Amino acid sequence: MSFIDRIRELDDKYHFINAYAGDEPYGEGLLSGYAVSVKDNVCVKGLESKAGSKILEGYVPPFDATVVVKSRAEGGIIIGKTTQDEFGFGTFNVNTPYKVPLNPHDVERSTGGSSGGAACLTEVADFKHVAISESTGGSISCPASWCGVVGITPTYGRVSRWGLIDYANSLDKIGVMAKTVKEAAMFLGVISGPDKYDSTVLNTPVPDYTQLGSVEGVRIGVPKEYLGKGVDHKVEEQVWGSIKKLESRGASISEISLPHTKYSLSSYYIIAMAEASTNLAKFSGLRYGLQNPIEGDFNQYFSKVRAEGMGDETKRRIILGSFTRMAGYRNAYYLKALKVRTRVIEDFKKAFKEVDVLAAPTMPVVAPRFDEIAELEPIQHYMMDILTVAPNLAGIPMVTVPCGNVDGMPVGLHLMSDHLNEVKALEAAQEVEQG
Amino acid sequence: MDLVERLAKAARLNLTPAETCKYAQQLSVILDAFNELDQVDTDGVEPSYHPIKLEDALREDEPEKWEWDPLANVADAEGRSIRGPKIK
Amino acid sequence: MNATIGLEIHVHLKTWSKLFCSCTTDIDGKEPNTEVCPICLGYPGSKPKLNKKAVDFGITLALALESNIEPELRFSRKNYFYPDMSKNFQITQYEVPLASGGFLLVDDHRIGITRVHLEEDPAKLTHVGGGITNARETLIDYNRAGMPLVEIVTDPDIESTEEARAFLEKLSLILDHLGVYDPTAEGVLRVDANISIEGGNRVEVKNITGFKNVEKALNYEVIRQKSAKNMGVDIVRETRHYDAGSGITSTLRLKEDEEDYGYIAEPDLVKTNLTEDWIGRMKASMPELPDQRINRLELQYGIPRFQASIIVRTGLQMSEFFEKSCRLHDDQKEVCNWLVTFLLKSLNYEDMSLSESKVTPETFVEILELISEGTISNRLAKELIKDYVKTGKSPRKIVEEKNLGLLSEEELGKIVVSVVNEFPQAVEDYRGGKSKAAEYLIGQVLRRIRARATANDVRRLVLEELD
Repeated sequence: MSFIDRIRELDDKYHFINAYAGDEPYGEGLLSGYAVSVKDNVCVKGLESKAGSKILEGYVPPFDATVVVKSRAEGGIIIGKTTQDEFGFGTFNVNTPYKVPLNPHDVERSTGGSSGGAACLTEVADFKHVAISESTGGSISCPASWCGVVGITPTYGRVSRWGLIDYANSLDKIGVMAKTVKEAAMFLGVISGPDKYDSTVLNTPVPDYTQLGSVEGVRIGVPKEYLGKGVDHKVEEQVWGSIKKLESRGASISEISLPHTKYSLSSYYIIAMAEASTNLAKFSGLRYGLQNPIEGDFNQYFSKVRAEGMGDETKRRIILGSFTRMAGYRNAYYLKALKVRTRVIEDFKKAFKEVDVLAAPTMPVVAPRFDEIAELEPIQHYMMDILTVAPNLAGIPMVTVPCGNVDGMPVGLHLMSDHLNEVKALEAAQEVEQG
Repeated sequence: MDLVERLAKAARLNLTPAETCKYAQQLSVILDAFNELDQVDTDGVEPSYHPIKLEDALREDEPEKWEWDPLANVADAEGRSIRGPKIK
Repeated sequence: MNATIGLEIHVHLKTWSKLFCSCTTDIDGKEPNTEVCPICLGYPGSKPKLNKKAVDFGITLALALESNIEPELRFSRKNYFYPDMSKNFQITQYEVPLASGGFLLVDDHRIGITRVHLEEDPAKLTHVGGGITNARETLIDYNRAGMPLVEIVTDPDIESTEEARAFLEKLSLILDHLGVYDPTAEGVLRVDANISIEGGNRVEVKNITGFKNVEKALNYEVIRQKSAKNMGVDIVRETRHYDAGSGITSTLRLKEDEEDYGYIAEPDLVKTNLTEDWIGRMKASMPELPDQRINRLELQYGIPRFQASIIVRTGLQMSEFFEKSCRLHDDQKEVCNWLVTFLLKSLNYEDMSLSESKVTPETFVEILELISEGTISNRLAKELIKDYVKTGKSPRKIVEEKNLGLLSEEELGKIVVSVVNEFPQAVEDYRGGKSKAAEYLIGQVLRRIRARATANDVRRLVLEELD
């Protein structure tokens, strides 16, 4: 059976694909024989890429994202676009007019988001597969941990964003998911590196992420703000189990503090929504995507097509984002948030002088039921992000690796390290994986 | 409410009255939460436009032509021009 | 007309590629939407990358305007919706421009330059079935989207509509000298003007193309504002549009309807360090500016200052033409005189610019050579130059073909004799004491020979013949 056939079978059950690619030739390289799924917000030439939104329905990109080019160059076979929350706005992959993926461990629960489709496919694939995914505030870590797979969010700027349909440009990172640490690490190496088309990409050389040593002598810090109240105690139990295991393998454990953790959520959302509200302005029914018959003046035309094509959460974020940039509020919100970001980054930099890796639960709870999500207020939705938002705001690399189960639902351990120090986090992740 | 109407107009989004009310309420809750940032001392702190140090990404002035059809995704073209709505 | 005026000038920089993408800037006469790419069309997933040459030009211009250059170049998003915007935001510089605090002297009056900054141009709109306020639809051509612009903002130091024009002419000349813009390309210089009279409200007139139109639009505004004041009507703070066809300004939008641009830092771009080294290199390679050139021409060629000024102010090509011509002909004062007095006059008469005509320094100096060789008279040269400017044909050839050389004494003598024989009555009258008859005969000869001899020679020979 070909990849595509098997994927169709699985998709019928779990609903993770938005668009199927055509036939792709077999290639040589590190990804030879691998199916590569691509999150819907990463452009594939000739393949409908709509970032989970109706306003980009029918949009066929005229170019490949750099990560897609690199994947093919190593023999990867692009199989299709995985579903996501519209433009990345969400934690449960329910904010989309397209497919809402089902958690493979319990189909009445969410996969997590925004890269729900990617995590779902990664978990159910019984063939060689890696997923191109993306994180702004935790969209790789969250679904990867809730579906029980490995997710790597690299340092900001490690991977080119050329071809990524933007959520928030100073926060977006393209990353990977796979069943094992080794595969994820290998794939990260494939997609990383300089790119002349992206001004924010780093020119530092890419190490071999598969050359991973032991955790002997590694200093692991556990941020006290990431545990205790707000984290389910059973989840915490699983996480501590893994941390203790690392200790038994030669790592030293200490408690550290990231005092600005609680402010990172507001800072993140203000920056993310300010940037997003400007990124989404280009979707106004001209040049590509959803286009209406031309009628009315431009204000009328734009306002109608945008309201039609964009979902509830998207509109809310545009309104909020526009507010934080408004004259008179800009200093108190947008500029203030940027300064608080500096403080958050300082927290991490200070911590990494004392320790090599931070360890914490990836998410405060296991995957919630769909009917539970429907009852949540927007502010509660935001609280789900708190463990992943701070490291994402700081642009540090992080790896989520399965570390146990609670009532049959996967729990992820979040391992974070300093900028460009992915290897340290991966080493700890591999150790956890080996059990 | 008034604020949400203004913001929606600026962002070119037609909202129903129900949506406007809903967003106004949610906006006020969320903005209250954001106000906690006032507690952070940021005197003399530089804003972080990016989380890492990035500078000097320049391109040589060499023209290159993209070989493609820019009208392929366009629903309404007149000749080679793209048709758009009138100004007033 | 007197008024308080501030100008915002947008100039296309003469780079090879656009500001944030590698599309060519050579868009004149191209079919719509043929010089575009995903970046300048605002496709999702595309990202901008800054053109180094545009920064070079920006620094050079900032230096020429004596302004202070910032150590870091940063860009912002100016957010507003319009059909000519491919992203519905413009990448520009908001908080901190490339440079600020400069000035330009217009006849010893110091006009302050508030800021100089870089930004991208939007697309070109064609309003179908009407003007901007009543068309039924719009056609969009994105070839121009992303073209590199430098924006120069003056302090409201300009004191009259004439001074506004003079300022623009000088600025344009400086830009031409710096090689940062092409004055012959279409629509390269656009002006927004802020104008108020007698301390009243400020009105903005947007998007005027060409200096003549700027002066016209501002003159119209002064008249409009004055009449309103006389009738007791308040001048409203608003943005108006100038229609070159009708010569009037009309309301585009009121100031209360102005957008809040909600600026953020452009997160797809990073800061650029404008190092001492970079600025030093631009300073060292700065071309000669107009004022410097006027001084130099005066000194180097010993020509009067006012003529040096005319030569330089006509344009870069004219001063280069002058200097080339001086290398080909020793009498530089003559070169200058003939160029300023006659060549320029003929060009104006034919409504041609130097670049539009076919004249060259090599053929131009032929005229001077023909005069100094004695082949033609000064008077004939003045006629000849008109023909030369019109056709661009080598003056030597024109002289040959039309047989315009000065007549020899012998040839002239023959003609004199034949004319005298033709008009026996005049001869008789002269001999009868009417000296005016001689003038009549001289006139006839002159008519016949068409400047192929000097009037003095003709007079001499006619009188000789008569006596």
